[in-house]
Amino acid sequence: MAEAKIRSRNLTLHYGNKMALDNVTLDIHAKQVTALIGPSGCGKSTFLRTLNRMNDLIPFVKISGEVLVDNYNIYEDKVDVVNLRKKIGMVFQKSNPFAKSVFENIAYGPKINGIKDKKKLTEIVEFSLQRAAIWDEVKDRLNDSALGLSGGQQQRLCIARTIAINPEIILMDEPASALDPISTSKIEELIFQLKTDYTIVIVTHNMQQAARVSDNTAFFYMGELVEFGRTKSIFTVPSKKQTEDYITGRFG
Amino acid sequence: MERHFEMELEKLNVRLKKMAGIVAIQVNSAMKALMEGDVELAKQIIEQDRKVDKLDNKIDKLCQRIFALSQPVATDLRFIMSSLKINNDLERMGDHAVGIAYKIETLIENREVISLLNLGEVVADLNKLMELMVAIIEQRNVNLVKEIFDLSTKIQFKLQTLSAKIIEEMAKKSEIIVVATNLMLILTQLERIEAYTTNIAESVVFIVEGKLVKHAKLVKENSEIIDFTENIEIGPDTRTHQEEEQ
Amino acid sequence: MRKMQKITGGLMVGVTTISVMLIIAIILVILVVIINGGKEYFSWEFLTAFPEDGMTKGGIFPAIYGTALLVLIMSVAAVPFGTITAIYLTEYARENSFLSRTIRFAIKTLAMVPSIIFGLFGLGFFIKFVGGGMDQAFLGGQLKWAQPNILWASLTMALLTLPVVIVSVEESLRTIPRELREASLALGATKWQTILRIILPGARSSILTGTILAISRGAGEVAPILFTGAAYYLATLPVSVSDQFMSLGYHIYIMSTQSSNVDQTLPIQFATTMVLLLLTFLLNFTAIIIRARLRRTK
Repeated sequence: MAEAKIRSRNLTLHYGNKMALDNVTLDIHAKQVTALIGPSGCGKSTFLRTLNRMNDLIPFVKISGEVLVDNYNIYEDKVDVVNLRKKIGMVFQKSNPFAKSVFENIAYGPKINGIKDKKKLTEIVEFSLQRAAIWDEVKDRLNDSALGLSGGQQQRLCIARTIAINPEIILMDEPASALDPISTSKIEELIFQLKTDYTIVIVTHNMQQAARVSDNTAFFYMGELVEFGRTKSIFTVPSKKQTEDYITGRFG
Repeated sequence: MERHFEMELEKLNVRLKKMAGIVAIQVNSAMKALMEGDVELAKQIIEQDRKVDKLDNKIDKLCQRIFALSQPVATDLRFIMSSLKINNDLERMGDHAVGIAYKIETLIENREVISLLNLGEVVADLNKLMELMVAIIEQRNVNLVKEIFDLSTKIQFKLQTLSAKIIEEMAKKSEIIVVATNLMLILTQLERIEAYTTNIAESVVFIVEGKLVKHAKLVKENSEIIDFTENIEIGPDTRTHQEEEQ
Repeated sequence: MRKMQKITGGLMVGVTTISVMLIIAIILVILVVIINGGKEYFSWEFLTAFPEDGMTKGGIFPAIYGTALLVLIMSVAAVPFGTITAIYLTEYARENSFLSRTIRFAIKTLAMVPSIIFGLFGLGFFIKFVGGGMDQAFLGGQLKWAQPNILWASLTMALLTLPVVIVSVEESLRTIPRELREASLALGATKWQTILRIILPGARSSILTGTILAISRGAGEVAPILFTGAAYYLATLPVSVSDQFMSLGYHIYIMSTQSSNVDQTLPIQFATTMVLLLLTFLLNFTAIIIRARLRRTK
């Protein structure tokens, strides 16, 4: 039985007066893909962002409960958020490469971490681009602007950029929702390969994608965790009617 | 405005119920023909089989289409998977009813064997079983499963007894061998019909509850019944893909 | 109905065309008058020589030098300060916090203040207060800093052009999508690293735009430097920040209102005006080129 890499315990989050997460208790297993599904506004993205404390950037956010990474509560006062984010990478819905060259984009993370040696940087860049299955497409264009790549390539670039900081966990917020089907399937294939080394949590509004790609699925509705289990069970024998209604498309 | 998908599911439901109804009638008719030696009825049964085959085809195609064009999950998925199985079982049942119909002609002479055997009870049981089968497909009521399993066990037992009796009679009077053999074959087909019915019941449980339930049975030679009703529950599976492959 | 629309449409086009042509015509007239008036005096010597004979002869080199120096020191003061303020407003301050609202109010007010007020402020604050204080503290009462010079004039001008820089930079900082900041933070960068490496490079061209606008104003405004450092005639060029300086705008003003022989200096006035226009144009042009280059390499 895989041990839980991340656990949330009674996590409740308010944006001002509005409750976005209601008492969520959930285990994310190491080196597996966990999908978060649910209708718009159900809290799945909010939950994802609590895992690397990106919600701290939003004013008037109140959080109670715990999020434990490797059994250590990341919401304790003395936690260094900047360091936390080096351990937990994030890929966003719309790819957001910096207005720099491909090389500089990937090298950004390591440079921030103090790696200056050119040789080491080049190694890291090559490794990351290969791991993200985009090396062949950009190896001759390392010094060209990253903005010149196609949408699908940019997103894989962002994944490579995250890999470059050597995280243990990768969070993905609807990574393929802005992409065409072929790019989407490339990203899904990539996720399959990446889970051997990283714990992955992916938010998706596309249920078939969740079904294809994940080992475990969590269904959120109105801020509550309704059901959590093995993906194949959720999609063949869900235990809650709400889950059944959502995945068969009868609501939401 | 009902979704297109739900209309397709309803279509499948209707066709399946129709199939069950037709096959049940086929079996009832076969029983009647057997009891009364009605060759005309037997001919009708054989004719009807074309209808059964056609419907079988239509149901298969519909399931295929739904799979390809929608991505059914959960109950819908289980329903369509099971529909294919149930459809298959019904079609086989129909085949066996036809098989019995073919033999009616050979049973016109030496009907005293039949009366000796007192087939009336088993026939009544089988007709009741057909009723239950149609009911469980229509209502998807898992409470009927126990009744079906019990009745099924009873029928198996009776068929076993009948079989032994026929062999006894054959040993006594060699001139009835043809009739007796045909009767034996008919009993086999009745047993198959009963077996398919329990399959169908199991499929319905799978639709409703997502559990695989198996009803296995062993009947020993000297009419002692050893009844294994295994309930293998396979609910939410917590093994990983890799663990499962091993 | 359609005909009415067509007529109004045509009328609009006509009116706007006439307005545009009018404006172009006015500009042309101004240019023609200036060039006509000053063309005989405009020469290389004019640009490089010192004025002679009570401004009736010679060149205006010191005015050119002074104006350029003024603009330079002003930019050095205004641009970094303005940029940092803009960064504070967009990156650090909470929306609608008291402090940020106060700052914005101050910027708006600053932009509305008439330029002569800046001159008075420069006199009272920089020269008398700061300068006086410096003289007391470092020179024991000797008079050095408590008088008009290019430093105070530049700083006064910097105050004038500050709002322009801040607004320009802030606008562009706001257009940098939030996702870029998030991406940087998600990679484990601190806020400051994000600003330094991602935000500032992205705002480069708008910082330059702000600078261009500031320079254009700074080169032309006269009121702020009236009592803070400009002089009509200096024999030497300013060599330290405590020196006074000559400026093109001021020069034209004095020449046309207070010189001893207005008629004789008329052609020089025109020529000086030409130079001022040319200088402004050149400064703008250079900055625009640099900005275009920056944009292309992005």
